[in-house]
Amino acid sequence: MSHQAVQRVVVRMLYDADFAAAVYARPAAALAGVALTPEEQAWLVRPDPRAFRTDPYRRARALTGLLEEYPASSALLVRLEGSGGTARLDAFFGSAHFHAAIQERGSLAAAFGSYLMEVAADVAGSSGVPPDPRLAAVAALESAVAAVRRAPARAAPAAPEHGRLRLGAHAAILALPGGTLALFEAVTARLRAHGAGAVAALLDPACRLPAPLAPADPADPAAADAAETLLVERGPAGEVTVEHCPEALATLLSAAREPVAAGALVEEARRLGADPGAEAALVTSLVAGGLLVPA
Amino acid sequence: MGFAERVARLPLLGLGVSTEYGAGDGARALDVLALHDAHPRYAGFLEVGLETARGLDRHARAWVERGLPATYHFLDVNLDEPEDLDAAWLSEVRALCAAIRPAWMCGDAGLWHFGRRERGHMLLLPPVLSDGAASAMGDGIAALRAATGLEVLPENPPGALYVGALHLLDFYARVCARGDTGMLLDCAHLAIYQRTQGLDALAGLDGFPLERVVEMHVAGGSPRRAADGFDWVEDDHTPAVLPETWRIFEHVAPRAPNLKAVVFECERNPAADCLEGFARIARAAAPGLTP
Repeated sequence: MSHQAVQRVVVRMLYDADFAAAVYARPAAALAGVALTPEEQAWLVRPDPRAFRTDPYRRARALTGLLEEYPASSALLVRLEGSGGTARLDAFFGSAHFHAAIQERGSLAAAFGSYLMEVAADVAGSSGVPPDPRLAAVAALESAVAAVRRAPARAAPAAPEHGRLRLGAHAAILALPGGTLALFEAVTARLRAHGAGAVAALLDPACRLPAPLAPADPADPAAADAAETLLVERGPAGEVTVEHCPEALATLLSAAREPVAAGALVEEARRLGADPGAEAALVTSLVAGGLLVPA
Repeated sequence: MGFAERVARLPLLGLGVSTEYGAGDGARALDVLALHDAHPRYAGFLEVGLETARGLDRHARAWVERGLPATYHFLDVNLDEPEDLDAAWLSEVRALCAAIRPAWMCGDAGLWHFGRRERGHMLLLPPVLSDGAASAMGDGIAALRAATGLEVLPENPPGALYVGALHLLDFYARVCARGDTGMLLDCAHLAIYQRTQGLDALAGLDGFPLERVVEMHVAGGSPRRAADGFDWVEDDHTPAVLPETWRIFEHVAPRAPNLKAVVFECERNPAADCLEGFARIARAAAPGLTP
């Protein structure tokens, strides 16, 4: 499918003018790693290079869509000293995350989440203070929300019987630094209160956010390092919820990230302390609730 | 059954109008039902632009509920990517077909979305004009036809740039042969392509199998000059049709023996601004297009 590789390079050139310029200057070098013939490389540089730039709002439109899915982490990052502000968000389109997502038929939203997590770690590290792990964690949380939002429609619950089960694609279990959900909810609420929409709010410097770098409990700095476990789930109507998940339940569901025999999950429930005799009913209830699905 | 037999069974739809989700909500948008009532010859059918994720809007639904003819114009499938014809999408397509009972499916045969079909991935680019892409697209058309039981007419998309070794018409001739299919020739898009290549509006038509043309589109476009001096045409569906577009339409329409339908794409403009265009199309296409 060489034509698909060519088409994906065209998309990358449309979004990244620096990349397009590199392709025009030295096609073989810029396209190293992409399986194209010399003839196909020549096709890419035959059009007037200005033809790749006729839509000046292409990046802004795409970025707006991404910010709508990552409002909290984006808002925190642009306010972080040394982050580069909104230019750092726009720089996503020049990142390896973006280019890999396009060339390998991945998800742009997932790639943006990975980019934000990388930037969060990089900025916090370069500023000379220990990075607040909740910054990258909020990006991870929003990335999980984006992923479950894109999962296939939930199937009707099925009886577990003796088959194999797995965690439904519409659900995710996350182990994140303590205080992540509280920070996410506080930032989201502040953006919502702005009144002009989340994207306008996150780009408005006058919209002040809860102090993102403060430990979750100033009296107990270690509290910020304590993990919290979250369940992200898309409901039958498409709504996505995020809530704390009891440790034992999270462990049980995590055991089903890969397909696992229903009987093994019952055993795991017993090991985790389910009431004797109620282990099978617990697994059945998770299937009935749609969290576990036939593998 | 081959294309020649299948096309003989397709209904003659005549002149029609197009819409897509939300297009009819604009203050100056074309009221397709009002146009149908006032000028049934100009709005004999509705081409419904569809993303399965959005479905029908109230305007398209109102048209369908009156039992009027329609075609299904897809906006969300890359025909040259086999993985794009997934079971979930096909199921949604079948449900929409059951609702609108289209005479056929059609749509721009290019890149509707990069990567998977998901939020934020939508765009529209012409295909890579290569033999490999033509073969893949022809196969995709045949697969979608088999999956829906409907004719699937590929349309040449608009674009500011085109990549590949083939002339656009040679590319679609190969697509038609490989997929044993008819075609939707968009005259405005072809005019834009010929401009980008510095070619005459009719270049390449002498070698194109016009018996494959089942449907045609006419639409206005606006010449633009970018800040860097680059000239291009925006396919904005105004009533102001480029002279090259008229040349193409008036050359092809009388020479396309299987032409069944023509759409004047002017969905975001008031009817009064579009009547002259409809009249010119009717003159050029009549009498063969009178249902």
